[in-house]
Amino acid sequence: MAKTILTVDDSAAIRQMVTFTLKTAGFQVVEAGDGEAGLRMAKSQKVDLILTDQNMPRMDGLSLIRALRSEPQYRTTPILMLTTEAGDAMKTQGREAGASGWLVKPFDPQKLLDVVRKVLP
Amino acid sequence: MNIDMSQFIQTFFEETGEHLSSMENLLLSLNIEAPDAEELNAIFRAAHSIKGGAATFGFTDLTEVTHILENQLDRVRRGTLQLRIDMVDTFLQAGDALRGMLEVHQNGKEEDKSVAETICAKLQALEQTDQPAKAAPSYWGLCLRGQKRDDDSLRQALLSQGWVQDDDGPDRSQFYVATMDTEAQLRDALDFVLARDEYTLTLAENEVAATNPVMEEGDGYGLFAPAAAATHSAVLEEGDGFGLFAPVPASGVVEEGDGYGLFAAVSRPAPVPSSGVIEEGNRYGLFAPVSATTEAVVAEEPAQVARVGGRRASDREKEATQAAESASIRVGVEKVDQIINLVGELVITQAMLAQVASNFDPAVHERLHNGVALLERNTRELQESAMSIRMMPISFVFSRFPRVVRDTAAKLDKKVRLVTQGEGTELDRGLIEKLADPMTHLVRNSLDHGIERPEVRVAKGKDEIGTLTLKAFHQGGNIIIQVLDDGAGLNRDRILAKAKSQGMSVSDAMTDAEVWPLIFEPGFSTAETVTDVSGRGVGMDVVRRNIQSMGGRIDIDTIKDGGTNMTIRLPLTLAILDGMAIRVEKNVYVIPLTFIVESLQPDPEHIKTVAGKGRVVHMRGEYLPVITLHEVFGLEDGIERFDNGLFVVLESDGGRTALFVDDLLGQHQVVIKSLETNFRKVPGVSGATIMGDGRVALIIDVESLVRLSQEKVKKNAAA
Repeated sequence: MAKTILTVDDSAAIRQMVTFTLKTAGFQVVEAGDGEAGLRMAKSQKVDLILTDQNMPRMDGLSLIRALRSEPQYRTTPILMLTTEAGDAMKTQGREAGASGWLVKPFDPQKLLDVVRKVLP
Repeated sequence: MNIDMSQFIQTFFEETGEHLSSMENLLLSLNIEAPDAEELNAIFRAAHSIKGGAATFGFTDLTEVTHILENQLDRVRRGTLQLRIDMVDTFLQAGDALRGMLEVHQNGKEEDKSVAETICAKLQALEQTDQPAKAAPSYWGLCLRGQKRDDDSLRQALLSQGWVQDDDGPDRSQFYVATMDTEAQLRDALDFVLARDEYTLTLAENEVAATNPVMEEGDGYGLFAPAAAATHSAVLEEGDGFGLFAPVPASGVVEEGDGYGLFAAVSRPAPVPSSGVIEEGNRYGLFAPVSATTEAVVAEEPAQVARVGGRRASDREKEATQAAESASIRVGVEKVDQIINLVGELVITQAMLAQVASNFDPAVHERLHNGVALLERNTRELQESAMSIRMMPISFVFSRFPRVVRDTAAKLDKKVRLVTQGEGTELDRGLIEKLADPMTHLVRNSLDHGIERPEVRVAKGKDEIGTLTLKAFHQGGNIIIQVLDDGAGLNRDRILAKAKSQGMSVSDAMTDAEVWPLIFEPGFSTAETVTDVSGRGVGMDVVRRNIQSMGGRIDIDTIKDGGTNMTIRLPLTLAILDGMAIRVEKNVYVIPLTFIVESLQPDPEHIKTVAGKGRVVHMRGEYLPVITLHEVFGLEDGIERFDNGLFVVLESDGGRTALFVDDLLGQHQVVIKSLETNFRKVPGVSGATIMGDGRVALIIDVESLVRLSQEKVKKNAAA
């Protein structure tokens, strides 16, 4: 069965791009426009990988990751941060929140796929 | 894999436009002295989102500008840069510049690099002017006496002060702190974890020792890479632009890198998986200091909950609107217009069927009549819902005015408060777009000529801050938009004097109601000096023409020193019109209901012919010019005797007129078909519609009909 990937980003343009890239590669993709929606979506269905932006209204990416990690079913699910900030501070925060890795925006679709394939169980 | 990015770019454009608008609104509502943290965050997020999108889609100019903008906003957000009014101005200008760039890209034009450079320089300059006020951080060396500290409380205490660099060696007794605080503040913070005699604090000679952490061992102390750098070594894999943290949770693989080892502590049921990571580096071992962080997170969350609970009602409203947004879909306007057109056709077909059905005996064909009645109801509902798709709240127009008012008032040195009411009032999208220009003109006019300068206002005993109110509401089938100011009001004498000097035919005996509309005449301007805000003498006539072209009208109400009220009256939609069908000979015409005051059967004795001015009818103490429709349209067999026909009294910008027609057929909702796009512009006619029986009826353009008739009368008089 195709793996399901949740992409959380407040920018519809980025979401569309990520979704298109992943769907073209044969993944199932679900989208959410902010952290809260992302969390709701992750709770309502099983997803195999989560890609999240950091800066979002209502709930930011780090909070989403922490919230997901406190859910038993998402304790070990790979979570990648898609972020424009690639400073060490962000990496540290991301790691401490429980992210599995990061990908710096802008990224090209091929790199997204490479990293996604690398972390998928 | 090759992906065509262009398919997402349209979404990016729309999204960025929205971000820019929301950024502008937030900037305008910011309280400069005490900016709301949530609002600053929202502004920052908007800039950040634009940057992310722009970078992804390769718009480097947008990326550059938003990058600097974002940095400055971030400083403001963090409190290292004090917000000033000129900064808000620059941020607004940056927003304008971004909008400009966006348009350039949208239209596929060549980008002008200088725009980006100028605004970047301006944004950078903000920081420079601020720099003297900003203290440079000082670097402190902290040396513990005696006992070593394994717990993280010290580290946390230091972290709260600024950037920390510590000694990772077996006896952790050396720390370096870079902080903006004074020594006393630093000591105060340390009081929580250390007694004063447990440590020594020395000011570091330079920052090199602190910022360039080299793994070195000096005399009596050692400098180690700071915590952030240590994290680097915990990175399992770092490629160009991405990185994976060890452990990749599910894999549980233990990886060994050059000089370090990573253990995935999968067995530990810690809520934060990485907390169990043990890093082993060359010559040192350390536990990732996560336990403290985890606690901090736990402590943080109730605080957030508390904050949520204490939010103001307006925030909740904001959230409600945001939620509404996320439940919407984007559809091209042309698709909506196509639906509306089809519904329009359906309405006509339905009317046709109803007409045919009325020829059948209801007693015999009961089911047919029931079906037709149901069809009529469904069609009407369908039409209403289709029209409502095109409806947009007027806030789309109103939202630009905080900025216009702010800029204009600043330019004129006036103090103005803007009040908007009824932003949720909906009207047709087509009208919204056309409304922006005339309204901007009215607002500028009110600010320039209406509201007085603060000293003048004080002298008049008014509040020195003027108030400009924008109001929108529904009234019948119309939407009313008002621009009200509490300024000086219109000056009757000056308008009359000006009109005379312009060679208009005016007299001192004219009523106020006749005087005020003079400002809408072409070439009229009473401003004593021409300002670059308004008062070039073009404008008010254009405003009126624009509003008339939308099927609306504008009225003025003014009180000397009390203010001016400009009222715009518009039909709710452009596509459907409430009209009165009238008949002249065999022809059917439709008059928009908004223009009709009353209809009545004339008394022939009240109709008089004035030499050279055509006929007038005396009714209700007023003489109204008579327009005979069949004469104006050159029809041959119209009713000549006035007692056989009817008068429809019309109210237009030129005053009241009595239109003589053969008969009234009844009130209808008609779907407007443009004559101009399908045929050509016809004077006196604004469009056409198809009636229920399939006949085409022309929709009368009242303003143009009145003009047409006046010309005819003049021509006749000349002949």
